[in-house]
Amino acid sequence: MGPLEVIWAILVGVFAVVGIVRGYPKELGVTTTIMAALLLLTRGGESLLYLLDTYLARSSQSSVIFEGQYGPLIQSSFYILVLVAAVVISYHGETLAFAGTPPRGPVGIVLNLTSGLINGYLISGSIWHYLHVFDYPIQILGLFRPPLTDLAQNFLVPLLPLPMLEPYLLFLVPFMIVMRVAR
Amino acid sequence: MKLPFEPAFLQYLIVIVTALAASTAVGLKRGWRGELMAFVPIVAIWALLGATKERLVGSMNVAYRSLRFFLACGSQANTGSCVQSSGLANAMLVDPSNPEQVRLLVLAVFICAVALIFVLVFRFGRRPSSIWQRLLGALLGVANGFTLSYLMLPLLSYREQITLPVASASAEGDLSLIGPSLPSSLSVPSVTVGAVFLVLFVPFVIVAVRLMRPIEFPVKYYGQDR
Repeated sequence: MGPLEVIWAILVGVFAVVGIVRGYPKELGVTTTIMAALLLLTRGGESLLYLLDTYLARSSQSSVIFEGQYGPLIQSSFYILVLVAAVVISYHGETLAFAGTPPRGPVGIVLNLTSGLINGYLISGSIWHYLHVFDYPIQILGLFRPPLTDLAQNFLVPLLPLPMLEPYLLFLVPFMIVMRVAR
Repeated sequence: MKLPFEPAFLQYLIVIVTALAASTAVGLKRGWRGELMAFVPIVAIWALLGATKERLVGSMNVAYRSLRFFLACGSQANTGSCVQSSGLANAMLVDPSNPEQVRLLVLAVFICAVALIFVLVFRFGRRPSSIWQRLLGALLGVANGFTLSYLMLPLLSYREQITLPVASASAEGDLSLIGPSLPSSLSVPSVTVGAVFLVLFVPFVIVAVRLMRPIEFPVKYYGQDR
């Protein structure tokens, strides 16, 4: 497995292409869902994990999620899987897609590309963030070997979306819903 | 626990976000020409204020003394004794020897001038003829917003540490309950970069939604079959 930033850049690129193909009205719907999922995870993710841990502790007599050997891996996987599930749901179908079609010509292409890039940045950046805060537990599976490269450590990790956007998610989610509903 | 915010971080953030939002809005509404119409006078006023702030303070004090004279001694027959007794000769609104007061006056005048220029350009500027002019205007607006913040930030004179409500949380443990992704301290650059993202993202969504074309239904829905 190569450096994380390469995988991150490939993912962002893939989402940019997806954005161009699908058009930004659908992509903005995905952005709304991702932001809502991130809001849910940042505000209630740990509470959900506590609930799950309490339930599991009844059978195992000890905390599996927070104290076990694989605790960081389980926690990280939980956040990533919830996020990925939200992304899959939002890409499958047009539940929150904005009603309309993109303008023709280069303006439409630029808008499609930008919205795809934003989604790629949000999705892959958030996954990276959840790996980072739990100290890259995928090391156990042999999928990553630290340390991060200088580029990633100095420039990319400080610009991951979640720590930056967390104070504003409570504003951004209603804003996106308002833009979806009251065009 | 006290979050290690930089002194006056919030004021800085407010200035940057407001300047960026206002300038981008002018750029979107009036295009790059409107942006230039706004920006040239702003830089000129900033330079003028820097060169003539002593005279501005003097004029302000003269105006203040005149107003007080009119209010206190306007109805008196012997104005000379009134001036002596009320101490009007030495009355000052802004103390020229106090740099904080001078800076505050310059900041207030500058903000009023910038607001007036933005309102005038918004009201009387011409509409851009194409979407490209709008986008170019917005792009220039972002650049001008940053420049405007750059001009205004040195005029801020706040020195006190700000304690945000979040900081009154009793312990780090409380904060960790909010979410694992919330770091124990919010670093200023992260929040500021987040604000910049917000300032760019919100206009992008608004413009994108405004540019959407309505869905064209196939003819058969509206054809003779109905």
